[in-house]
Amino acid sequence: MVVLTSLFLAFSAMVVGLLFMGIGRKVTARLQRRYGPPFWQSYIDVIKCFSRNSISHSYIQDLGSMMGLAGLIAAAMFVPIAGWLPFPSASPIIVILYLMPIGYLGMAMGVSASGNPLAAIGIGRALTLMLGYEVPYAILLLTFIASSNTSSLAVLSDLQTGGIGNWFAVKMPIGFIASIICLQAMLAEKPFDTMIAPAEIASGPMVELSGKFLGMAFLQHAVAIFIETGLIVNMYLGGGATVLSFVFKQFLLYTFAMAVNGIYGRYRVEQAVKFLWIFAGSLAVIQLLINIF
Amino acid sequence: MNLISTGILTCFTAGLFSLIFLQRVKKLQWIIFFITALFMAAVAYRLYGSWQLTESYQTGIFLLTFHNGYFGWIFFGMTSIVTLLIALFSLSYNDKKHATAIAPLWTMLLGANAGIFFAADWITFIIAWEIMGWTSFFIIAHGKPKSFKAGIYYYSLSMIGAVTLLAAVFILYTATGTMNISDSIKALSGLWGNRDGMIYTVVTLFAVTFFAKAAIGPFYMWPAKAHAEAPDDFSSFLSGIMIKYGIFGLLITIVPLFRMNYSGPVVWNIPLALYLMGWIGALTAVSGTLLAVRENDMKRLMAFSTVSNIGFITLALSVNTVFGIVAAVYHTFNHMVFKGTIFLSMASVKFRTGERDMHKLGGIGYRMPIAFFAFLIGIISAAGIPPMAGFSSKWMIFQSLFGEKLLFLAIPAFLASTGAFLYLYRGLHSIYLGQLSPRFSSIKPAPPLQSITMILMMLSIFVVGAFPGIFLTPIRGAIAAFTGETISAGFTTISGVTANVNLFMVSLTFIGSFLLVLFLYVVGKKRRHVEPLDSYMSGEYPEDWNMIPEQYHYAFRFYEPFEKMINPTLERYSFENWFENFIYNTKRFSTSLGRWLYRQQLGAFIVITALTLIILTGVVW
Repeated sequence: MVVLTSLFLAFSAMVVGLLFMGIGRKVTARLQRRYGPPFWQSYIDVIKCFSRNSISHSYIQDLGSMMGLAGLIAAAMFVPIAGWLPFPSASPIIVILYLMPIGYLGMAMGVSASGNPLAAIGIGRALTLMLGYEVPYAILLLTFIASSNTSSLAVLSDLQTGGIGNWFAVKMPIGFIASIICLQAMLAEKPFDTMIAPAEIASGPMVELSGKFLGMAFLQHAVAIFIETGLIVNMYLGGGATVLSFVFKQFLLYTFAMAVNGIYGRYRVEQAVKFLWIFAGSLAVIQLLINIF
Repeated sequence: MNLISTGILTCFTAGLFSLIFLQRVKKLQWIIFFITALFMAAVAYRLYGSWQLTESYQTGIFLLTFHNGYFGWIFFGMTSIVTLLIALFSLSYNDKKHATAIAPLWTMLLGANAGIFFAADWITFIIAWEIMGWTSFFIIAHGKPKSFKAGIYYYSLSMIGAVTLLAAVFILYTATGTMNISDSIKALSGLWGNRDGMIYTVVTLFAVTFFAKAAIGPFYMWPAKAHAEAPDDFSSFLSGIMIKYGIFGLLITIVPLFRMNYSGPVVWNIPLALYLMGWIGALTAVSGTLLAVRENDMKRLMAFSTVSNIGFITLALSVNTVFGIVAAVYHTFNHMVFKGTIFLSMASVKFRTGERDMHKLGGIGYRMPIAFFAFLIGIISAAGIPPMAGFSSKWMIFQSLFGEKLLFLAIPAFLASTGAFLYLYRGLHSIYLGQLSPRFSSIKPAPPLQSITMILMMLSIFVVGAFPGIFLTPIRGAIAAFTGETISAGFTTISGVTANVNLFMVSLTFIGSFLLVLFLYVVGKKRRHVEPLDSYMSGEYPEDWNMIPEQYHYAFRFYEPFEKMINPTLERYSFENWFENFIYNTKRFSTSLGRWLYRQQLGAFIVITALTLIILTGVVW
């Protein structure tokens, strides 16, 4: 039973994430006055990827790609969806934040093993950016520990039941803004997309991926979207009474991120880190000071 | 039977024997070293349970006492097992081409190791500490000019530590009148409120000793020099075990002192001095991380990583709760295993390639799979990523900070912890992934004994990651014997202040997810193997612009944008520069003083003054 519910969650995370990606492409296209692909394009892409031939440079690339997707799926198992979890756990934020890196590490390992320097440059930038957003995000986590003495997502979303007035987005607006900035960086959308930078380093990590490896990278991004938006919905937006309202809030967050992505240019990676530390970091510290005193 | 002293004497006798009689047969020296390590592990096994065992010997005016406490034993047991694994590795590492002459000294070092953990009085402790200091100096120096320089640096810091240790013990003895370690600390804590100045002096002196040994705070430079220049298999011992003596020293002196009868100023409910120590630990963790990110030499990189982890441990110790102490000891043991694994894996690579600069390597993982996996599992654990062992201890350290609401100390800790991903990945990519140089295209995998060692260590990281109770249950017992309090934890669950985690379930989740993805991988259409150099280059051929695989391996200055960002800060606040300036100025001062003293007029003046004084004294008399 637990296995079945976990499988169900894994697949729904992929499905929802891919749906968001499709709609996101449509939003970007409309902002740029293009017509854009249909919103189900991402599903077609993934199916197509898995049914095409692919190349691999070494066994480590295969292993890394698998580890990448597996890490994120494992992290998704700890994100409560409208209070529901595939198996009982305290859903601690730190476990989620530290399970996601195994996905990124796997991905990084896989593309490094391809031997393409562009991929290595992209990964170097991605990790530097990660240092940029993880620190403010960790400070946001500390704000919750200061105010509610818990780091469990389930408890946090329970604390916010009963109307918008109880949402932490309303109670801690400064922290919420910081979290939105961090979300933009976690999703690697503009202005923080220096690790992908298609015109500069040929999509960075994705440069050597083909066929099913690219398909797995797509799925990984889909699950990542699901987790990252899900974290913020649970932390700040009340978690949602039903699954539908939960997914709708995730959708709003993602659409906002895509809208920002559509209008901004790209930071260099050290600029991005400085921006995140200075703006998101200081907003988070202000929120922490307010919560402590 | 006097097990402890028998063990220690065996180490010294075996070491001396192989030093004197086996100079010519290196292989035999290493076999003796391995047998001694095995013997010490057996001693550790036999000592378990007999917590009342005390052995004392009157030698001259000194009374040497050993006591088998649960707390000392657990350190000894853990170090003995790890040493045994390293010794197994060394057997294979020191073949005809790579053998060094360090085995006899290392054998003696094992005796000092036991002496430090079992010493019941300060004299024994100091003797063991000194033997540890000089044997390790000769091992680090091992007859190479560059290593000798690093050894001298290490030994100077050890000497500072030894002098302050002697001074601290001297003051302690005059104040309390006892040489017994735990009694003297207990007696000293009785003086809180009366003689605070004296206690803080002792604390500072002890802090200098143990900080210097554990590379905390201003002493963060020596691991990078000593670990890098020491023999490769010994680096593993140095980073895994020897650096922990400092932590053990802090645990038996400063930590209990502040837990008993303390009545001084407090910050966020912990004593001011410990709060300062917490910040020193946090800054050590951050600076170790930032320095490691810039490093291109693989052994120096991991040495800085050790510094960063020691910073974490210090941070946990400064929390001054039982939970914090358990977290610190747990992380100490985890670090022993994963850093040992990482260094052994790198030693294997160096055994086959002879290279230490990471940009000259690359792609080794395609040829040495077991070394690659050992490194991979090691860095996952070091980064504190579940499902490996490192996660649980790092998580407990964070929980101990949350428990006392030391939230501002947690910020640098998070920075250091995330920064660890950067340098660990750099190591993985630059050594094991990327382009394989044609120079190394025909290297063989690690030899069987080395592989077996690495596999054992990998397995232990994985198993402890799923069942933290394997380490935590004995640690909790030892800490309960040491402090009289304990914390609650299950065999698979670690409980914290803000949430509980069932690590076995986390591991299962990861394995389950991996199986799901494996299914997707198998379902997808088959892949074809293509050589690494045959990759996407925007339609160009690398041969056209004379590109060779070495140049195509992106590893040198891997994080250049980030380095540009942090370099000014690191150069401004560098203790190494401060020490160098200090040495330069001391030299200048002493030279000018010497010149002044060597002047002939001065000599004549002194002689005349002395004569006048003598005559005057005579006249007055």
